Amino acid sequence: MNSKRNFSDRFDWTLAFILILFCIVSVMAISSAQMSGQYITNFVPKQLFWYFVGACIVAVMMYFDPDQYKKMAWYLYGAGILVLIVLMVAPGGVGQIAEPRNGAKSWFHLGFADIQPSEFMKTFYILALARTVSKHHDSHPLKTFKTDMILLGKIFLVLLVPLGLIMKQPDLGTSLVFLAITSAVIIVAGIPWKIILPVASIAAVVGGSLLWMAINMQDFLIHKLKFDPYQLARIYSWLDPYSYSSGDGYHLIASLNAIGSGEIFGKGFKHKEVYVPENHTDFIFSVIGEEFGFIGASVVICLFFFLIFHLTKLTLRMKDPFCTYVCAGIIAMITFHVFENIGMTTQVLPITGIPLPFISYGGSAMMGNALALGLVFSMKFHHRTYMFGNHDDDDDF
Amino acid sequence: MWVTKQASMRLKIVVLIFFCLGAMLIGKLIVVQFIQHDFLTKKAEENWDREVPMKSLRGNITDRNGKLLVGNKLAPTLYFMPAQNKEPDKVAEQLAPILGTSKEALEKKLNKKDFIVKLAPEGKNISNEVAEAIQKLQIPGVYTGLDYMRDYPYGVLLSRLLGFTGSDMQGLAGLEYQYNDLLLGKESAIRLFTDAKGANLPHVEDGWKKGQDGATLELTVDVGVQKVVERELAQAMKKYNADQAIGVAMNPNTGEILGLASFPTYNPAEYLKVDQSIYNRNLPVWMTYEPGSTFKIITLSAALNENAVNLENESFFDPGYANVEGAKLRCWKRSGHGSETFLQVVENSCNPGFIELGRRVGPTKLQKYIRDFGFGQVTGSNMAGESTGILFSPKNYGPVEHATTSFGQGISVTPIQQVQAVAAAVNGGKLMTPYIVKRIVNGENGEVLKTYEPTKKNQVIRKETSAKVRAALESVVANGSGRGAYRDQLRIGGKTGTAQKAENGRYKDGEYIVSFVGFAPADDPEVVVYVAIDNPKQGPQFGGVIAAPIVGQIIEDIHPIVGIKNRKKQIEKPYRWGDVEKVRVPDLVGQSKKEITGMLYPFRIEWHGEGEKIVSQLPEADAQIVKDGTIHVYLEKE
Repeated sequence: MNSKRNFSDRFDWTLAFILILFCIVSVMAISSAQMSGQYITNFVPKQLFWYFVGACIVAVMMYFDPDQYKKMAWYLYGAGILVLIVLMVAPGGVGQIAEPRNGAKSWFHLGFADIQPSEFMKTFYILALARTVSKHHDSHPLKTFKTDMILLGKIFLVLLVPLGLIMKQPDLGTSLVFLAITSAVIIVAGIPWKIILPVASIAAVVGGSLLWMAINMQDFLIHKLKFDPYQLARIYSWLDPYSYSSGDGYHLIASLNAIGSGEIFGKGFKHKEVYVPENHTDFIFSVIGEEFGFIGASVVICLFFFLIFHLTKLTLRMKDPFCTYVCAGIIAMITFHVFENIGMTTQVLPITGIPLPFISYGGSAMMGNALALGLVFSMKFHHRTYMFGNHDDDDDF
Repeated sequence: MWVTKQASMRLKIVVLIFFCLGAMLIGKLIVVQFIQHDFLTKKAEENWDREVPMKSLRGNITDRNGKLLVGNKLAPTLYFMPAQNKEPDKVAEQLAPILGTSKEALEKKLNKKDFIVKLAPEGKNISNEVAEAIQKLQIPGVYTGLDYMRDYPYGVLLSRLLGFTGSDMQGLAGLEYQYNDLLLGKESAIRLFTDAKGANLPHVEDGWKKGQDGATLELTVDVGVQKVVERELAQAMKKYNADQAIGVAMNPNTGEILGLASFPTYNPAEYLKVDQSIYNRNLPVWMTYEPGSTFKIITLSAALNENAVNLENESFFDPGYANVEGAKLRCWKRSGHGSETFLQVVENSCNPGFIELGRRVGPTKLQKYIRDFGFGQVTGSNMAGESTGILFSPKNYGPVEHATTSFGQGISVTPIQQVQAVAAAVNGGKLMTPYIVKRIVNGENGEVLKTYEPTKKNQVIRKETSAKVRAALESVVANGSGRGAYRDQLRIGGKTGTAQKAENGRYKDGEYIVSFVGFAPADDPEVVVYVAIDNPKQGPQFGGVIAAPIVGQIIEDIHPIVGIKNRKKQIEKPYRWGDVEKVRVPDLVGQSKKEITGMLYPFRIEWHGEGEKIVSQLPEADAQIVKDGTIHVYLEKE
């Protein structure tokens, strides 16, 4: 093994290459999407700017090694929580800094850009979660049912505050991302299946029966369980958009029309015909599906597969559990975003407003994802300290 | 190590689950794009509902009292969606004759690779007949929608200051261009659209996504004043067959511009039909020329401020010329004014007299006064395209230049500089920055975003000097070359000017700019009015003959608007042969019919009503009427 490795060897060129591919896809899709002219702004240069900002964030984050992130974890988590609390109490009147958009108080309007703090909180949460689990394992070398339950309790506490604040905004999509991250980390943390499976089954049964009740026992849900009819409407417009064709249903129909009429090969770049509102952000996948068809949509999904595969391979090489948990959280975050976003444009899941990572237009999402990938870049860059053992082929990822 | 090993194992399981989810998405895509695609494609083709982006309402421009000068109105407009029609050349062929444009230009627009194309300006603001004719053709992809366009309630009024917008509502000239960013609204969208098959035009309110309207620009201009100024200038343009005309009315105490006119004017809604030299030049700030005698006010102010002359008690002899360094500078009156007091020098606008005043002030000091009065630099009126004018540089300022400058020749200034300087000379010596925008107001809630306040640049002459200047200039109007501007009880003061036009450093033979700058009332000026007529071709080309009566008429008509009350004390205008003789109306109210008929009055009386007692009369007492004019008297029985 080389004792001195230069920058070129330590930098993750593969990951950078994947990101450049995403950048190209993003710019093409946005430039086509904005032709429907819902907004007058030209988003392409702005998205390129955000990609540049993301690159700067990654560069800065590579200066620190994972050991330092371990120490910073709780401070970053605390800072993130603080910003979310500030957002909650910030003035939310018309034209004020935290004016709700689409009914959710999730944004700071800063004039030059709108910032969504929960996008950053996701990465900070992953750090805090990984720190909790790795420290727990350090201090409890012997695993028992009791220590596992204690760990679950700690994880629950770390989750509680950010999840509560984000659900209060309310932002269902991001809340689900937090749950997905937590689930992935719990599994990777080594909680025995005999605890996970019953809990997962119960959750599945409860979820399933609520869905069944939403369809067959609406009165019971609304009057006895005090569900908001609005929440039910979201379910109906998902399951039967043609009967509930206003709002979300309209959006889903438009998206399905776009993707469906794209067929195998698509209508060609900038030849889309269906108007889908917000198709440069959350509904960008409808543009790809319509213009590039099944082939194009599959290529984009495969690009995400490629990304996840690469991140997984990298994670499997890491010998520091903290790094493994961080990467597991990041993989879960990106995957769930992709699944939820593409899922909502193709009627697999109900519509929740979350973006397609690296492709949808948006500064906050880009910066949040850059924070997460910055951690990955840093781990690879400083990996000699943290990856040891009998691998001789360090250079193959 | 169990931790790491187990974590690796577990991670593989998690990723496997994720890959399954990914496969699920691809599976769903297959369903949507292979199995449901016929159904969805049909749906896609039926669904032409969409949002059309629109600029929010562009901000209004109003006068100082909130009267709308430039607003917006709805205009039926054609839109084309290229995706819905694969034969744009055919569409162009069908539309071109109806819209009266060339097929090629239209085809170029229709071929744009855009989601939706606005067919402007050809298809903007189309008439109902045109819209119906197009709907009858039932061309796929062609829609009639609504768009906004600029509306000018006063037509050509103030057009060369206001400028105009292009078909996309972007400001292209004048204030519209200068304040474009403020006037522009934030983007909004309108969800509309009928198909070409003739369904009703939807209401604008339907699905209107509100952006933010542009800010309102409130000018210092008063529509009432502006109308009078433009009316008088329009008449003069016609009467004298002039090339151009300029008018400025300003409040001398604040610098607020109340009226600003350039002729010829143009209709901003039809800017394409006029030359850009018309709409790109706001003459009162852009044009520079030799001021001529109006500039003598500056020499007079300097001389009085330096106590270099006593107007009433010192006298001067004008032989018709003055010798300066061997150059013979002539007075406009070739035979000379002979022996006169310096007040008469001012009244007669006598060039050798002013050379003497300039000599007494001295070259350095006069130059300093000229620059202090704001010449040689922009006024800072914040109007686009302002010129600085040209003065002699101190190096080139010899005795001859000093002499000609003293009576306003050999230099070049803008009208706005002259108005600014004269305002300072008569308002107590304060050089006020002229300005045209009074306030900027939020177009939606009326919140004031910015207020422009009067700014005093410096004190150029003393207050007492200013009072003497006013008295001398009132005398010019009552007794001298400005007699045409005299109006009873308004105490107008002023100065005429006649200057030969110069081009490329040479005077143009027979082409003059005649001007007059007046103010009223002389005891406490409320308004300064400047008028210049460029190259009048009818009648004698003298400022006193052409421009002075225009200023007199303007001040007479605007005096109630600017708040001038009639004055009792004034310099009476002595009768000169050729003047229309006027007499004052006596107070007849309260007297009896018998008493009146017994007297000899130089006017005719027309009786109204029956009875003996006079209850009212028209005109009222103390007004002036033409000699032998008629007074209407109203009687009542006692």
